[in-house]
Amino acid sequence: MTTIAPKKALTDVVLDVRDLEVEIAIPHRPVIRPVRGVSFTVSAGQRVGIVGESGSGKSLTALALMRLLPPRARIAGGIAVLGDRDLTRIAEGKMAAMRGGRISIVYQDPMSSLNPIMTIGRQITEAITTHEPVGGRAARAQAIDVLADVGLPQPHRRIDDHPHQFSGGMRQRVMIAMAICTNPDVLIADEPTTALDVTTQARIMEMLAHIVEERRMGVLLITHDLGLASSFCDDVNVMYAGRIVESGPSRDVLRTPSHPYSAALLESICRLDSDVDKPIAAIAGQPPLPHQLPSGCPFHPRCRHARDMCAAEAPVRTTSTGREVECHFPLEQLPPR
Amino acid sequence: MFKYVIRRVITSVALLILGSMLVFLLMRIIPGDPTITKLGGSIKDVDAQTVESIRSELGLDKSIPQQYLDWVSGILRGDFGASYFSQFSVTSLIEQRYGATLLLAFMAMVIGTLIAVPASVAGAIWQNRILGGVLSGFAAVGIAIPTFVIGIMLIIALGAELGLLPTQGYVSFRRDPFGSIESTLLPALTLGIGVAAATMRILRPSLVDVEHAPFVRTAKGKGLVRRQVVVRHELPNASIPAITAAGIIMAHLVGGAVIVEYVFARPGLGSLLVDSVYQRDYGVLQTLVLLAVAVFIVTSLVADIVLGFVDPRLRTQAVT
Ligand SMILES: Nc1ncnc2c1ncn2[C@@H]1O[C@H](COP(=O)(O)OP(=O)(O)O)[C@@H](O)[C@H]1O
Ligand code: SF4
Ligand SMILES: [Mg+2]
Repeated sequence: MTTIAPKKALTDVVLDVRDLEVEIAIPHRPVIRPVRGVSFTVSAGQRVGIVGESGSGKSLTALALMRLLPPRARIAGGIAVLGDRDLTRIAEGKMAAMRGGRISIVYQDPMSSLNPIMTIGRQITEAITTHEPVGGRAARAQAIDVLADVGLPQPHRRIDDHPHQFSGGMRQRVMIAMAICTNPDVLIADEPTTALDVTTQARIMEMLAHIVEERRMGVLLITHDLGLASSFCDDVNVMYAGRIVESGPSRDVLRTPSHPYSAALLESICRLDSDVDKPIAAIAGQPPLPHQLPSGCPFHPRCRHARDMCAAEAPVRTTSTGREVECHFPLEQLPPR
Repeated sequence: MFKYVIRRVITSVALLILGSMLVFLLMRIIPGDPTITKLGGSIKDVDAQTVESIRSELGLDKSIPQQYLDWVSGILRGDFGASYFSQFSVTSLIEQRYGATLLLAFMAMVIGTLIAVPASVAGAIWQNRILGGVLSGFAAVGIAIPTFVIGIMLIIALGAELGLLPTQGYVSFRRDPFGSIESTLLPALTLGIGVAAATMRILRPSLVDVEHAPFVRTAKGKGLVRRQVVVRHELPNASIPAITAAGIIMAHLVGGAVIVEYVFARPGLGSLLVDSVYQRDYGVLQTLVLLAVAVFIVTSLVADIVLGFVDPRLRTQAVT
């Protein structure tokens, strides 16, 4: 097992992901690498976002951290240190103890993500008793409390209801309750509100913000919605074709995007302010598929600022004033106001 | 839930009435005159008056709807009518014989479930290609091989060669429960293999389907280990199609029981059925066929009620 120098004591980092790579090998097809060296950290109480178009590798990154990748996918490189354990290397038995205990995930689809024939109470108490040495009654009391925390009305009465008796928004609250009931260090939320209407989305994000603040939980919010990410997160990572192309404090990235892709994402929101549902379709062209990555900078076929060099050579990461960018020609950054 | 049960009971009763009509009509359509059978196979030496008196004794001189009504009202009073052949009433014939069949069916069901469920669960937990192949092979072979072949093979292997278990006859349960179970073990195993194969054919694909359901991913995300995920989440959901098909599995079992009783020389309802076919004993035959239909319908009804308990979506309103 790899142990990493105690960075934690200084900065309170709970999750340290470095150069994470995910490979998918489907028989009779070329091996693809949809996640190609992703690095970021999450500290206690910090909210970190990963933003990018559909297909950029966000969900695979999340599933890799949970070690719940689909059958043909595997972690091909990098490390992901939670506390003092490298999640990419620990044995499956140890990983099971981490899942739901130290690191939890909430998925996009609240409709099918709950077991339809088990009461929500049993589904939550199951998560509690798997990780904590408590009896059934104590777990039930804990479940009622956490359901109240996520804003489920009358939790003591509704705890014995089944998933189909709840609306989509309420089901997602139940999913969140299940994910946080053990007080994990990191909560991954993969498009948690994408399946919900805008009003419900706003209420749930508000509730989530409140809870993680209270419990000082680190959050990794995965979304295609730059607006949502920047309003919720402290830091954002903009992801394109399996790599993080820009990262920094969300306020800065939003105000002065440095990577042309971030800028394009941002523009698409501003332009289509009313149509929140499909903001990113506004960038011309399609994101590349993992098995046909463009040469050089993968964004160059769609980039307005691309020059000859961009197709020839992949840009390297540069750092300046808390911002990391992977571009040959970062946009001129306005002096801070 | 209550409404749902009432609705299912009403449809079951309707099905039963329809079934009884079909059974009755079928008996009238098949060739062969029971009067002749009763007279010993030939009508030549008998005068017309004797034939008439036998016909009226059996109620065959009445119109067919009248005969049907007589039969049904008799059944409702617990009187299944007279055997056309022997001196006994159908009721007493069934009373003598049902014990052997009931014990056989029950034990076959238990053995079948005890094979099918753990085997399917093991297949889902280990997902080993060799184990999966063995299980699929067992299910395919168990369904394809006729029950009597399995029976004879078991008789040869366990009964005749090793002398472990009795291969013929039946000891009454009331007289000697242990001996009764012992005498039923081999036939029940024969039948149970078929039941297990039929159950596995439904349960295993449904376990594979449910494995990719998002709620299974949620269960893994909680930190459950594979065994817990399969037993607590996959199996209960995957059992829904198997419960739905319980009527079909039961039909398999009833059909198999007839053959097994014959092979193992058990004095049960199945061998009674075979005898009554040979003797063109309509009185016995129609009752037994109706009984088989009733078993199928009642099993389906019970399965649907069980399903109501397993699947809450059937008994409570969804939020939309
Ligand atoms: N199970 C899989 N089999 C094959 N390819 C996959 C699989 N899952 C994801 N991919 C590919 O990996 C890429 C990234 O997928 P994903 O991480 O789901 O993207 P995102 O969550 O950002 O929308 C996609 O291009 C997709 O085609
Ligand atoms: S490297 Fe070139 S193509 Fe890539 S984003 Fe920067 S300017 Fe555009
Ligand atoms: Mg995704």
